[in-house]
Amino acid sequence: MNKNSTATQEANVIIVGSGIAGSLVANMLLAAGASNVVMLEAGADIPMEDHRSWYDAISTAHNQLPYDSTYDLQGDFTSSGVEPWNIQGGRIIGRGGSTIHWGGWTPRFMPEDFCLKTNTGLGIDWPFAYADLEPYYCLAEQYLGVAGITQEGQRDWRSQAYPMAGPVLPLTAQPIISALQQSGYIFGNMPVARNTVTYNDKPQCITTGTCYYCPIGARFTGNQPLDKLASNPNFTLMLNSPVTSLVMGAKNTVTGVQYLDTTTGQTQIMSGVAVFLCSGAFEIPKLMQLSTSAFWPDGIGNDNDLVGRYLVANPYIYCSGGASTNPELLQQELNFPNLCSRQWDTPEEQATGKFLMNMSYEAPLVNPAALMYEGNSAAQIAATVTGPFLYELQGGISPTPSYNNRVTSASGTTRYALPRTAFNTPDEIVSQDTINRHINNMIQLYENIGFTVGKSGAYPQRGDHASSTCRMATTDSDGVVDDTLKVFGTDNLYVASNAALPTIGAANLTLTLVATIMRAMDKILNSRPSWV
Amino acid sequence: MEPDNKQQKLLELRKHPSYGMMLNPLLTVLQPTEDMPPLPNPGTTGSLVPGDITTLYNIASYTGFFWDIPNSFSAFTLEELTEFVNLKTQIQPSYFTVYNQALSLYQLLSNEFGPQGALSFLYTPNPLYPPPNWDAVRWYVIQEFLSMFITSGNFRFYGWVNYPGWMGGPYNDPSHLPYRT
Repeated sequence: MNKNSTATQEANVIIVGSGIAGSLVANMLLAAGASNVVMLEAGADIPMEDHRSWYDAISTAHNQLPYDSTYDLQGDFTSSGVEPWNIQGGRIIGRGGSTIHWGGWTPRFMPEDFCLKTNTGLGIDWPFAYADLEPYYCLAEQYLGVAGITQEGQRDWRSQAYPMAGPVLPLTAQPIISALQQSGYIFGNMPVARNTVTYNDKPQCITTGTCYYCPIGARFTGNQPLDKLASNPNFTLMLNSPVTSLVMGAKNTVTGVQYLDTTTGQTQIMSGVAVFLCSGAFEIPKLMQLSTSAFWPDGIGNDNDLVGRYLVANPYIYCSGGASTNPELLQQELNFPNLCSRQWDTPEEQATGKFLMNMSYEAPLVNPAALMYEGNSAAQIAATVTGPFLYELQGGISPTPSYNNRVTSASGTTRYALPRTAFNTPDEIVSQDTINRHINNMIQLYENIGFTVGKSGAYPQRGDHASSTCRMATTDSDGVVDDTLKVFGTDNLYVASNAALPTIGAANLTLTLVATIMRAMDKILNSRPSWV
Repeated sequence: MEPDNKQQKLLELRKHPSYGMMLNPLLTVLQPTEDMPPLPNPGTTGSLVPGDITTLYNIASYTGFFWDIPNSFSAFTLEELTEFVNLKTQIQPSYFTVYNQALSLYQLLSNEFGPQGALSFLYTPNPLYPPPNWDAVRWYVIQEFLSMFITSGNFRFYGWVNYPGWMGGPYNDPSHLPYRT
């Protein structure tokens, strides 16, 4: 093994990262006629819809999953600031990326989420409005296979019906629904990328309640588009191939990437006519910062020191509440997101933090096997089933972007040969007052139905939905990429990632990411670039 | 409110929210804080003979007897356990060794206490006198069988219609909603 040798390979289009963004870009390029599209992925393959893996998931003491080993380790990052981030468990490095383990939550952003600056003076506006993205939201819902129920008068208005109808809300939701109704609050189904009928050649959900590892592929996961591309002669996926730098032929021209084959230790150069960075809101800014040259002495696209800044994610809060007896045997039987309320996901809340609340689908949940193992008798277990129980209401809050919050590289590399990550978040992105306000909203709901309030607070920041680190803007003084996701100052380098989202709302952002990429790719392909 | 301890534990053990991704809803029985013994010889694959799988099935089925759960709720059949065991022994990390340890332990206990006594002992051992290989057998065999026993249909004994790990069926068919509404 020669660890210092360098070989050169050629591609037409290079895609860095095999997650949902990368596979979407590949799909759209190939559908438009592109050839020799090469995708480089730092991680390895992850077995999906594998029966042994599913048995391990439901039987082993730690719910062992085939992607557990891909998570960040404590030593893979440093963290400082108001609330130091701990990203362990937040992302998957491997074929298919983090939508391997996502829950499929696919709400749209609200119209006001696209104009934070105009409405509040904070952050930045998107270069386009909800109405411009709406057609692509419809396409994104079709691509992911979203099941939902249209609510009368919903502000995230839609021009087409959901591809699939959402499920009926379970009995377990009834107490919370009653609480919401007593206050006159709106509620509905959380849209989810989970098949209520056979769709996109994938089967109907059979409610295994193990969405973290679906045994039949009934929820969209990042491997599925790649599975479909596997036989395409114009597409090559290279695993175990972390990209270590971008190669610039001129200030405005990327000519390829340098990557490491971690199976051989050999450094390689892959030349390409266009490069799409699709490796997430942490790896992309680090890669751009580290790719210094005479053309870009501070890193690509970083002449204005914006790459890696405005790091945000949704703070996530919770409040538990329950009662002393459970005669209806309330138990989360559905085990995927269903009941939600966007009562506080409104323009009025935008300046301080909007809130999308949902009912946890993990509580109440009695585990008889655990009680058996602990030595409880049949009578004791029966008493537990009908005894005290706790619900958990929870949800994400829209964050306020701050220039000072940043992701950069720390010294050293991870086991994937990626640079370690440094998080520095000196500015709070949501105030404690806002957190308390929304916790009080949840407390009020419990009090409406006579539940006793339990614990509440904010979960540690894990960086789920991290974004905006190469944010989209109308000029390079405000952001890193334009509305086609092209890096300012370049002709052929794109950022297709959460990193490009200028701001985020309270809603989960994956659907918005897919719609944004679809919109950008439409514009790119309509310009008929030479590499397609 | 002073929450029920077990419920509270279930909530508190979740270190992270399930926002945008799924977390494991703690189906299984051992606490993550408990020291996990290594799986013995995970690289040694093999196939158990049908008689040994039947013995393992008898061990697994003892759960229902011990906790007064009638057979009518169970879909945990010998056929299902056979598939489970084969996948666990024939693919790495392999349970071939630990299942054989469980079988040897059962035989040892049967010789001393008889078959029924051996089953009882496996579920309620004296912690002061743990039998040979007990840590691994408890962790990788007994607790997994308990989980499979519940998820494979016996949760219905408690009045529920669905449970994590149970293939309940299509959820948008009003005639067959696998949960209560």
